[in-house]
Amino acid sequence: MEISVKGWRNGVLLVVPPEESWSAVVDQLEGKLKEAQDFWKGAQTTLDVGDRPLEAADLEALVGKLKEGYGLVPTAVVATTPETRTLADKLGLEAMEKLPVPERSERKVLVESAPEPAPEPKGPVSNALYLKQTVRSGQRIEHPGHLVICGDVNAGAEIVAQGDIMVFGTLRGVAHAGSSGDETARIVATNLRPTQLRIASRIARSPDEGTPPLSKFPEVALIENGEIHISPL
Amino acid sequence: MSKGRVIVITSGKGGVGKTTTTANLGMALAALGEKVALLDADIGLRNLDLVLGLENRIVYDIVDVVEERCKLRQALIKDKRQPNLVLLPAAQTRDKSAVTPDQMRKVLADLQEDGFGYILIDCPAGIEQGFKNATAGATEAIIVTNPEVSSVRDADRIVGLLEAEEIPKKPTLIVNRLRPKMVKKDEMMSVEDVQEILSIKLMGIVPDDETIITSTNRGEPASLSESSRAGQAYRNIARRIRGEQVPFMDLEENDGFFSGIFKKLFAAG
Repeated sequence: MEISVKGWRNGVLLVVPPEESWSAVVDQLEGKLKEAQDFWKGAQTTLDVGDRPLEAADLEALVGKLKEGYGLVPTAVVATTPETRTLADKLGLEAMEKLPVPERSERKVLVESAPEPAPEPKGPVSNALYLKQTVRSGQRIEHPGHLVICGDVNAGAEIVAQGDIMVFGTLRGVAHAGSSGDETARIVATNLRPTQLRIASRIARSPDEGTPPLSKFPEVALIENGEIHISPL
Repeated sequence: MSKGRVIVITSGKGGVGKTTTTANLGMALAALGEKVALLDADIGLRNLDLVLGLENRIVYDIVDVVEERCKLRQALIKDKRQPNLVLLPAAQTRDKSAVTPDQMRKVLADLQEDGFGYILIDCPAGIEQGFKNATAGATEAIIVTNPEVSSVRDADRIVGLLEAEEIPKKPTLIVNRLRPKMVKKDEMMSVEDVQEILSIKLMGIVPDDETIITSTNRGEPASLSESSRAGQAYRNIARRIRGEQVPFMDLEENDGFFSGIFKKLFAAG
């Protein structure tokens, strides 16, 4: 089995096979990284060694090589053996027992509940409204079904749907899905930077401190445990 | 006879440079040989006459025309410097309820019959009656915005409203009062930041320029001055409006090697 180099949510994931000799692993790794040397620069790297025991010198040498040779930024080590985790900790890396399961709330959202109770859900119509335009500030689009917008929704605009909302573009305004009370409705955008998100009677806004991180990928907002959560699509 | 172009200069936000732009573009177009009429649609808060230095020549205004106390020709004021340019002033003692969109359309139709190649309408700030009057009958729109969040937000509102009106052509954009040094330091929105939100065709970029203040006070539009950078930008925009391809000015404020030396020499003396 070979070492695998993959991309994941938190950057680069190096999965070390359990059987190979350490020097073979390092050689394989170098071979793979050399293929696209500059590509890896600056990438946060997690090393998953599973239950493989490691020598301190080996780990340190590898971390050094990743940093100096390829410009990677080793940040974490996943190891089931506590000794390995201690080693990682000593080198200033985060030590984990296993790979984290994708968390639902990747970004902090502040949740406030709406002042009035949720209205009786009226059955939404089965057709979706598809708009191929940018919704400008001050415009309000309302639809008793799913709403798909191919374009941006600028700040100051409001889009309201009894069903789901999908924006193929940048969502900067206010989006309200499940407007008649459907808490299973969701809001999806390829670039989610809203002023406010509302699903059924829940409201979420991005925190006041600092600007929200530039979403580099499509994200979905939905209600989980009574709160609006945003996660990568 | 081909119909003249009726262009409304609008913004939503007040104070971004609509009147300055109308006056300067009008003057620049006239200097290029076009027959230009400027129409001040800001009834009650008229400024276009001040910026052109023509206020003491006003006898009749647009409300007099619309209420038929005078003929249109009597209300038109010829510019004191440029024979190709006329101004139809607004009333100062009335307000925007004094004119309706239909009346505006009639005035514009009459102006077009007089053979004006360009009719520029100075739109008031806001989105209410004044805006509706100013855009009635316009065939094109130029949106003026400052590189700053409030005016871009308001401009976006205006783009949405214009899209809903019957103006056939898509609006174009002038970014006014840009300060390249601040943009470089990331302290001011860049033209690209503005375009990311507005996404309309860029007609011109006018730098922030002190000569605008002096030219407004004197009633001498900056596009008449060779040394004013804003004036130069307006002259370029006028050419672009006529269909010429004009490269955008390099707005980096370079004080230049020699002027820097002179400043130091004479400062010491």
